[in-house]
Amino acid sequence: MTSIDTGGNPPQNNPQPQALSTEPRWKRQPFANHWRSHAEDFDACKIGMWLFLTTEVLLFAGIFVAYAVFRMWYPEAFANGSHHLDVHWGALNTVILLISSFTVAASIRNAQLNQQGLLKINLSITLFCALLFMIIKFTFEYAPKWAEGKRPGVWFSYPFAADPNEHIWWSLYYSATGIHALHVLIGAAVLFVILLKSFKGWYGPKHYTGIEVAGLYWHLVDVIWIFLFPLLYLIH
Amino acid sequence: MSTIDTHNAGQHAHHEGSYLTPHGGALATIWNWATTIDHKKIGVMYLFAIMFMFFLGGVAALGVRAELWEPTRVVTQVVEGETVTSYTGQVLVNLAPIVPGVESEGGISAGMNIYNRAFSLHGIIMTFMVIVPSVPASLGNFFLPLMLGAKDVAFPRLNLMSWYIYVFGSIFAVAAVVMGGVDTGWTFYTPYSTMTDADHLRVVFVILAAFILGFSSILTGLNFIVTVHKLRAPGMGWFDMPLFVWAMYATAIIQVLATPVIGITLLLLIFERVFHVGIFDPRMGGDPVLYQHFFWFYSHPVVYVMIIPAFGIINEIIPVHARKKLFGYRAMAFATLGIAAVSFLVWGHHMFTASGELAAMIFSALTFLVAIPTAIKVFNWVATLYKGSIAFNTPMLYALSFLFMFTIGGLTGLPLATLATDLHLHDSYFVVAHFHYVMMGGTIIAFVGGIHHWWPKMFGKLYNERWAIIGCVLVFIGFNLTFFTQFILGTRGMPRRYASYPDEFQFLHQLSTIGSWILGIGFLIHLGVFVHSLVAGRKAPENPWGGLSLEWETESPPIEHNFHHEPIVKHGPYDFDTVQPPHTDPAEFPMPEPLRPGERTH
Amino acid sequence: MADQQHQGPAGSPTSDKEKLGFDPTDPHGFHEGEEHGHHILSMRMLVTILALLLLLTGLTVGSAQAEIVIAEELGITIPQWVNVAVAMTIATIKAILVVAFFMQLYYDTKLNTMILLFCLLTFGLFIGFTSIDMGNRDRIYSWKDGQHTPGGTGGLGLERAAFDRDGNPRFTAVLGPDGEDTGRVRRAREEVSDAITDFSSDPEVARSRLSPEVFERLQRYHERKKAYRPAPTPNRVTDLSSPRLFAPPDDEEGDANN
Ligand code: HEM
Ligand SMILES: [Cu+2]
Repeated sequence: MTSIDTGGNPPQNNPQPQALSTEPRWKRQPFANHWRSHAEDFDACKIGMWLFLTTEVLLFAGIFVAYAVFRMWYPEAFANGSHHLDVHWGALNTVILLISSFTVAASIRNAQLNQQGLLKINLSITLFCALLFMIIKFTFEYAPKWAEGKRPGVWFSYPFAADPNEHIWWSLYYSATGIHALHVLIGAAVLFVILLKSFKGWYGPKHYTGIEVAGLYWHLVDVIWIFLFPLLYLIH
Repeated sequence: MSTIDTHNAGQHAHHEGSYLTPHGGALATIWNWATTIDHKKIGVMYLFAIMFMFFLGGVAALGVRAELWEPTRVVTQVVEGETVTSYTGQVLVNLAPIVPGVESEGGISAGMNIYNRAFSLHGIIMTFMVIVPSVPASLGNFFLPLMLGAKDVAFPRLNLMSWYIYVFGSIFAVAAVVMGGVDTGWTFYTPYSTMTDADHLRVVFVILAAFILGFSSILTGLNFIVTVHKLRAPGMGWFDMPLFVWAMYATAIIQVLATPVIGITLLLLIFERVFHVGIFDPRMGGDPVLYQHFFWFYSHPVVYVMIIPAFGIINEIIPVHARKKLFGYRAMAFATLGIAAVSFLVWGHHMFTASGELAAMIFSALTFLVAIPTAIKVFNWVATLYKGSIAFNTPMLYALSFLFMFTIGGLTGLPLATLATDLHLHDSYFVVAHFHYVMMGGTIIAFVGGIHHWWPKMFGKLYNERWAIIGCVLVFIGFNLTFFTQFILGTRGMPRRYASYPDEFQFLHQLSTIGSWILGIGFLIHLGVFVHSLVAGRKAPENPWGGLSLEWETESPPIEHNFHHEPIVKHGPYDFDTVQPPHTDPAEFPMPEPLRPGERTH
Repeated sequence: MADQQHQGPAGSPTSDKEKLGFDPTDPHGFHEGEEHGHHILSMRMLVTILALLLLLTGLTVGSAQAEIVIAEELGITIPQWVNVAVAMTIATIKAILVVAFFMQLYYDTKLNTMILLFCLLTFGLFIGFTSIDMGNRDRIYSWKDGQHTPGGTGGLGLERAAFDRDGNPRFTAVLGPDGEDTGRVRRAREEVSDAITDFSSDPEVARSRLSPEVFERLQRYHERKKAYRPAPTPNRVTDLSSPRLFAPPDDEEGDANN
């Protein structure tokens, strides 16, 4: 085996911050030195994110499997339980998440086209949607249900349950939506950091790995909700 | 200059030093290691962390074996008109003063309580903190980029994070142990894990530890997949990669696809234990067998996370130390992927006695599929050895022990996969012996062999071959003495996880315990060899064994950025018949003689 | 247009390419041809996708409502699976839209699609094999039909689940550290039993106090409870302390069904 000198990273490919200090922040961003080009780095980050999303899907898979099994066993309990959920709030939250997905997709477009103002606006709308989602979830869904005794497992004390196994439904409801809500919070936190960085001009054409990756995560949270919504609210 | 500098803008001069070169004083060096994103340093840190956990788990194992020296017996006597209950044959009870919360209660003596905690501790540490991360996180981290000719893994920062997560998770587990330990067994089956010891949080701690360790495993796997896809050296196609890299790749796929399921399982288990949500509790409409499905959906694939890297190491050791082209490269690569795929189809074989009959039949049939790719591998290794010029040094001896013991372990899986026989063997010492033959006799043995194989490369020092061979032989004898006896015990009906047994089993149990001491001495000798090598070992040449894969091309120990120039791959990793290994003297590593007419190598 | 951002004037990649036989910045040809990583979606496209998604959300809510209306007004019972199939099909279409366009998988490398497909395959195996087991516990021994409960509290709900026959809470962890009753379970039980005594002592009082919907539920609950009889066979052991757990089956009824 011979090892000959090759062009690993031709230096001009990897911009050095000092040399470009008058350029906007995103142009000065070098890529890590084990990559051959910026495009490789970007691609790798995306593959990495897709792999991570795989793990997220399979995390929720556990909940979906438990749902399937117990639905098979206790169809009555699930039908009754689902009647206690208010479709309106569920549908509203679905719409909110869909809009937030749209704004994230749009903010990537903004970065690609160097529309710095719109980029910030779209990211802010996304964050606002996340906030709205959580408010609705807690004040209009969790709080009243908890107060009425519609609680998971041994905490279940709703006196008028029509099926003896309804607490299982509530256990799954709280587990599924709770873990999902946690993901919304994590996604929002990440997007918040992205927003702050966008104020410092971190993102621009071909240099938007951060938004792209955070956006993928956010869309996944949306996709999970797209499935949770009918499973919890609509199937009776 | 017709060539282009490999490194960025001349940041690094060509005379850059080894990655082990200290940076300034002791504090600065520690800080440098703690914040390093160099895959080699992270690999070494993983190696030491894993060795430490292996030591802890090993001490617990010796404790378990010590307890089994004599069966625990309850003795009831009438002394002056009063009935007095006492226990004989207890060993671990001597630890009672220092283990919190192990009073005798309800017919369970303090000694039995400690015994339960000892084997749980042993299982939990060895699976989650030793075997699962062992090869990928240490040797994999170190050598995957080197073998690919890359400067680092795809996401170096994630890599460091994964190490910290590992340490953080391990601290959780150790904290639970210090607080008194748990007695759930490594599988955390409900209701043990949800009902016992309601007064403390240790079980939650341990479950959380396993949950956290899962993240570290996922991050390693994710990193490796992207690295293999994106950072292969120019000229290295998929089938030019060393099989160790293939093994890491297949392992990483399993890690990414299976580990999240244990995440949600443990999360639900914590919900069940803390909030009593009832999903795994039959009294509330839940089902404990659902927990077993969840658990084994992860834990069966994960036994292949344990063994496939070991296959990878053996794939490297055997051709190099037999100086022979590997037999059936592609078959090996596809068998590796095949095992990874089949591993997702067979988890039900752990639940033959708990699940429904239909599922049991399906899972039993599918389990036999595993034997096919596994057998392909074993046959290929033997074919590679055939007519090779075998050097009986430590790595090779370990590879040969691996072949012997893994074959026994794999073959004993088949009676376990057969429904009728498993009914008898399930939860007996036969299962214990089976999985120790594959996990210890397979993975750990290959791991230790791999450490010896790559030790000169990692630390630039040679080790003492004679003492290492003595250690290896002791490990081999000790291991077989410890665990072969357990096959016999199991077929005779000795159930696992009991501190007591009928008197006629005592001889075999004592043999097994003696074996565990020999095993312990063997490992201590290895530890001594390693320490001696680090302190006083001779300097290692670049390529002490005449290997052909890329890691032998750089210096020993490798320079900070792995290669002075990005290597270009011109030959396969096992072309021992045609290529003189780099940095070697043809007198020491002569090319094989050309075949005479009509002669064949295999 | 490809990569002009990073390709500086010097170094002339083409000459390296000729010399080496491959592009040094891309030795495996990941970036040959079109540039998948940087597809820019048009605004019209984004808005169309969003509109489709909202439309489908309306559709799925509407169809679920419609099924209820059809069932209640027209008295036509629609089989359960229709409801499930419609909801899940629409959800899948929505997810595909998000994944393909918002997440740009459609324009991305094949590898990412493969990753997603493997993920779904794994999910399928998980849910498939688990359901095979959990859904068929009672299929093999047909004589157990009708007596089989896959776990469960035997129809008595929480009161029964949380307390044993003597009324002691089964969950030690619900108790405080010294074993005293922290009251959570007791309050839960009191709430349940208050409503039930109310109802059984004087249904009319309960009717006046409760909303009709709740009252009706309670009525149903009460009837169910009256109809409940403890399990006759050891297959339905709900009380773990029962010695019958390990007793041989003494069940004539079951054999008669055979
Ligand atoms: C030819 C391949 C193999 C077959 C057919 C096989 C089959 C089995 C079966 C049927 C059981 C369940 C026994 C019982 O509980 O009744 C079992 C247990 C086990 N096997 Fe294997 N096995 C194979 C290879 C491996 C490998 C390579 C490993 C790990 C590196 C492994 C690790 C284990 C472990 C850890 C257990 C027991 C887990 C527990 O209950 O604590 N097996 N095996
Ligand atoms: Cu298995």
